[in-house]
Amino acid sequence: MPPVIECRNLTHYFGSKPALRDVSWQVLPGRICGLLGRNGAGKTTTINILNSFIEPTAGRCLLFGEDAHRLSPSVKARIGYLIEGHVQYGFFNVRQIEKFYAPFYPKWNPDIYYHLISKLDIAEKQRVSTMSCGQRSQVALGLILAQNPDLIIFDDYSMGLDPGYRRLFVEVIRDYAADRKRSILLTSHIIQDLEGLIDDVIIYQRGRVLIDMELKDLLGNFRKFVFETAGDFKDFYDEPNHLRLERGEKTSTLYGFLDQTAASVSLNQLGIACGRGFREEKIPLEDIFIALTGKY
Amino acid sequence: MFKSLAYKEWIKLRIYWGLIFLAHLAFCLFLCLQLRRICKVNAALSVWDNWLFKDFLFFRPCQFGPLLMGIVFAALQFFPEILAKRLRLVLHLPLSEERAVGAHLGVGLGLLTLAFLPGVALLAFCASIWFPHEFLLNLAYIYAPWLLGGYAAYLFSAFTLLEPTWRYRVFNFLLGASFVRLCYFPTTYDGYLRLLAWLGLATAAAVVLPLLSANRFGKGYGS
Repeated sequence: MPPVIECRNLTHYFGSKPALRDVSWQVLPGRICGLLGRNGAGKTTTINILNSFIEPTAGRCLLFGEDAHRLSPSVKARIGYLIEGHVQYGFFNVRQIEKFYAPFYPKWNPDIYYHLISKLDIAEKQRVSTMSCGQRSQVALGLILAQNPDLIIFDDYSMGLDPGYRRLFVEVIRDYAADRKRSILLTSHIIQDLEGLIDDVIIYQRGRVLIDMELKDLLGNFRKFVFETAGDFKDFYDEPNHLRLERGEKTSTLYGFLDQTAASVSLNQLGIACGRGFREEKIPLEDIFIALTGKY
Repeated sequence: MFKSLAYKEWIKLRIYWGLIFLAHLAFCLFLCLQLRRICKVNAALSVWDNWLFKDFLFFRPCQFGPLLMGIVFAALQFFPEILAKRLRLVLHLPLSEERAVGAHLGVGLGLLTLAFLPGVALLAFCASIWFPHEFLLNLAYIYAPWLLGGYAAYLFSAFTLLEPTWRYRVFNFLLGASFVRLCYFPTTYDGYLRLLAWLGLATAAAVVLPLLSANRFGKGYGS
């Protein structure tokens, strides 16, 4: 099946500063893809290119086979887009905003929207501008889901949400995508929420693709080894091989796509003795993300 | 879809539009009452005399009304769109960018016309009570450039507000101020008669300018 989103050799500069450098990846139909990266890694630039709000310096993005900068209205109607910060029109109330959006989308389903709204403690005549960030996020989400889009792009959906609203958001997305007929691309800085949600993960580092793989492969193959610190060595990072060594006062850690034997070999090659307390520890997605992209 | 966009603009602007409409109407009514008082006390002839020979226009206080209304209306309509870059919501709607922004301008110009006209009609009606037909025509010739100035102010304000970069915003503002200035040269009898059609055409052509700014916004300039 052709990809829903395809970025080909995407490059973008803000003045002389590179934001994206030769980035290529794709999202296949029915998949939920998490686009992750630290602040300034290029996620929002990519999303803005996908939504044709930025013209890339080089390369192109295709959505349903059409260039992101020349999307036909029929393809636009198939794409739901949540703007960072759950931006919506503050002057509308709950009913008015539904009435405004409905005629634009042929597959509009108001029940989805009102079902979501019914979970919130808001009056029908309450204006969006008077809602809390969490309530506004649900209004924005309801409006997107009511479009019945084939692709949804969530730009930092978790921004400003408390844990309860974040959980609600994730559950709604998961239920919506359960039929595997729709694709979702999302970005978020709350990595732990994504572990049970996304199928594929793309990690950016300084405008480049660092990781692009299925989440289960990343979780299954990226490992953390701990050992008691002995001898004199410094932190080490090998970006092409995704190998990171962190020296601690008492225990040090090696991260990478390694099994136990390969980890021992790597440490030996670095001239580090790892005899005492050398063991593998479970590593969640957030720690993998930090191990790959660094703390600072 | 135009209906939906018109609905959005109406919800956003209805209170402000109502206030502007009432303020303009009240101001025109005030001028009519002033005119009535002067005509009763000094006779209409003195107003004609002042109008013809001393270039004193009883409706001159209206001169900058359309200009002010155009600027305020554009600000009220487009400022919420550029705050948090909400224009992205419109540009993402499943219709072409030109149609989406064009619909906004259409609604804005329509509401502005509806805010202008009743006051102008009231002034014309009051003037028709005391003045002959050719004076009314003269009133129209004098008032028309001011009205065009109002529309131009609206379009150039939209052009400036939707522009995503400050450098171009300043340029757009200066361009708009220069254009609007053309509509406000000191008025003499039939002074604008030969210019009026060209001024009207130029103002109509200015409709494309906010579309250019929106297009630049869409391309991510200033991001």
